[in-house]
Amino acid sequence: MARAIPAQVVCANHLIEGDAIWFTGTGWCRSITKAQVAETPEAAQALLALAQAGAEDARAVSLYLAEVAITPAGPYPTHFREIYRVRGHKTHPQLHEVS
Amino acid sequence: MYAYSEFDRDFLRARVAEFRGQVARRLDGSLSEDEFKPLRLMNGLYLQLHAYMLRVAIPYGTLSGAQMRALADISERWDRGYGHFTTRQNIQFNWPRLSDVPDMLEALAEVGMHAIQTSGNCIRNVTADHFAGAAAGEVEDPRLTAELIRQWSTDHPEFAYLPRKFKVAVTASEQDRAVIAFHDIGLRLRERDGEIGYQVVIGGGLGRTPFIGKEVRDWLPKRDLLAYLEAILRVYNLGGRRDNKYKARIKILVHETGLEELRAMIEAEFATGRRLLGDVSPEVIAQIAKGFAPPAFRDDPVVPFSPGPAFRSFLDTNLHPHKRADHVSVTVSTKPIGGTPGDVTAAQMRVLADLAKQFGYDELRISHEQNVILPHIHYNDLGAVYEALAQAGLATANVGLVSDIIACPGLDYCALATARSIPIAQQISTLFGDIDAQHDIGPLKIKISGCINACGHHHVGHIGILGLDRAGVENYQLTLGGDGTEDAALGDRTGPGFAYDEVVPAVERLIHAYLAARETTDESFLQTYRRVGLAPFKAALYGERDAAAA
Repeated sequence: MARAIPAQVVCANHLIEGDAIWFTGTGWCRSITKAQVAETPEAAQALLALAQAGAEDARAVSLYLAEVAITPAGPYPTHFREIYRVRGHKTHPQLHEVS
Repeated sequence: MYAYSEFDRDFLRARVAEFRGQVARRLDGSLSEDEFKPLRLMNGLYLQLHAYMLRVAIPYGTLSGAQMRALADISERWDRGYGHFTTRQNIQFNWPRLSDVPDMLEALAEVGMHAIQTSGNCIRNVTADHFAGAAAGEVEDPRLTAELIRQWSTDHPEFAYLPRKFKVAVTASEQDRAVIAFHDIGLRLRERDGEIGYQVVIGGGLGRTPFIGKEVRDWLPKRDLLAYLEAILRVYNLGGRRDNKYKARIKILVHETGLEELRAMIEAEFATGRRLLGDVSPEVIAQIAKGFAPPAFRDDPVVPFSPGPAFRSFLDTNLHPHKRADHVSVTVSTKPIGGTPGDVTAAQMRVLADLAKQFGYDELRISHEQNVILPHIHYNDLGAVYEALAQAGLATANVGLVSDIIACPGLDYCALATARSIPIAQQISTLFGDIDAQHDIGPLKIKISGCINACGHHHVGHIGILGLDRAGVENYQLTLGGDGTEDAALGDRTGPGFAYDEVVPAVERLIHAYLAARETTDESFLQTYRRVGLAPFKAALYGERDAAAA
């Protein structure tokens, strides 16, 4: 039986926009709550391999696994680095309206 | 300013066209990500936490008004309307789309700018004293040397794949404002018996393993500069470690080899290379010098004026003596209270460009302390300059004070960061926001890095703050007594680090400890620290009992 680990999701950057995206199991999305969760090391490696196999067509780059907790709203990161990535940039939001 | 030749312009156009083709091939799938990544890095394009980041070189921190205006236009057209000035005197755009970057580079090339060698294991943008050409007391404009090195090092085929990145800084004053002791090579122009030459320092650096640079030559004739630099680089290129990126900088080679042995190797290489490379050509020097001829300074008699309190405060902190008695250099702080250090909006860039054109002989500088300099302002124009800066939110009177903080982008942008820097700077700035209180505290340099790579120069902060990831929690180590000037010193670690919510109160306790310990109001934080040592500050941080154990 596979050893239990913290749940993980696959995250990446979009090739053109550069922003954070997460693997849903069949595609990529910009909300971690829709990310596919892997709950064993084997499942995590399989999920990463699946994501990598389609990454070029999906324009996903810099793929890696990140630990998450399962919340009522869906997966949410446990490490502060990934939490900041999910929250987006905060230091001066008034300048971040894209024209 | 140095003006690009047709050769320079052709070179830049060719590089932009080359990168445009590389981006197109990446987007159509002809190039894989692994193939493309080193190509984008050679053009200063990083992939960060939330977006790409384009790092643009500002050679020795010198800009014209037209160049500043172009940066403003680029930030509005292809980014989010602001740019971030860095401790390497560069600017970073934090939100470009990959497909737009070739157009950004083309727009930069139109004004003689680029992003070449702002990344990778090559010779990076040469930095210099931000008051170069204006400061009283310099023996020569150090930008002549910096420009010569720029021309020599740009696309230098032998040094394109060094063991690690390589940084050179130049100053020409006894007062070191270019932090030369903490660069791979630091050069100080000095005068001896009527001749100008160089003191050469090697192996300085911050990062994971900080070292103060060591003098390898106390005198190098100017004509030998390039041959000597080639000798250093050649010895480093062959001897520098490539098995461990954390031990690959020249500072480690100096440390592991020993200065005397390394000096002998450099001198031997120099003796050979000098015969092949020869002296620096006087024609080249003359051509460069033309680009740095002093402007036609106005000779109007200085008219005395009576500033109001806010203007007075600005004059007290934001001016630096000029070599001419009727002029002054104005430092424009990019650190408004509670703001992000180094960030300047497009509108503010245009105000700076206009002021440079109208009052400043069309010159601007970026300092390694992330501020903008108007190097040549006539005293009679100070009132008009101040009013325009104040209207643009650029007249914060805090240069050299507690809120004039260096902070790296940290975990708000950077993929390498292990903790946030900017919010710490914003909180400290807000806590000590009262300008009168800041003036009472006096000169104090706080420098914050969001990881061990030390882009925020925390090792040389009077108070240094290093953000780390400790078991999945942001933790901040404090150092005291660092100094990046001619009295170079690495800060002393105080003891255990502080959590995110604890670090600003800890800094506040340090400052209160200083205010209690100083002998006079003229004794600065650094002077007090050097007099009393770490103990009272540790007591303030950890309490009397815990300080002994820390």
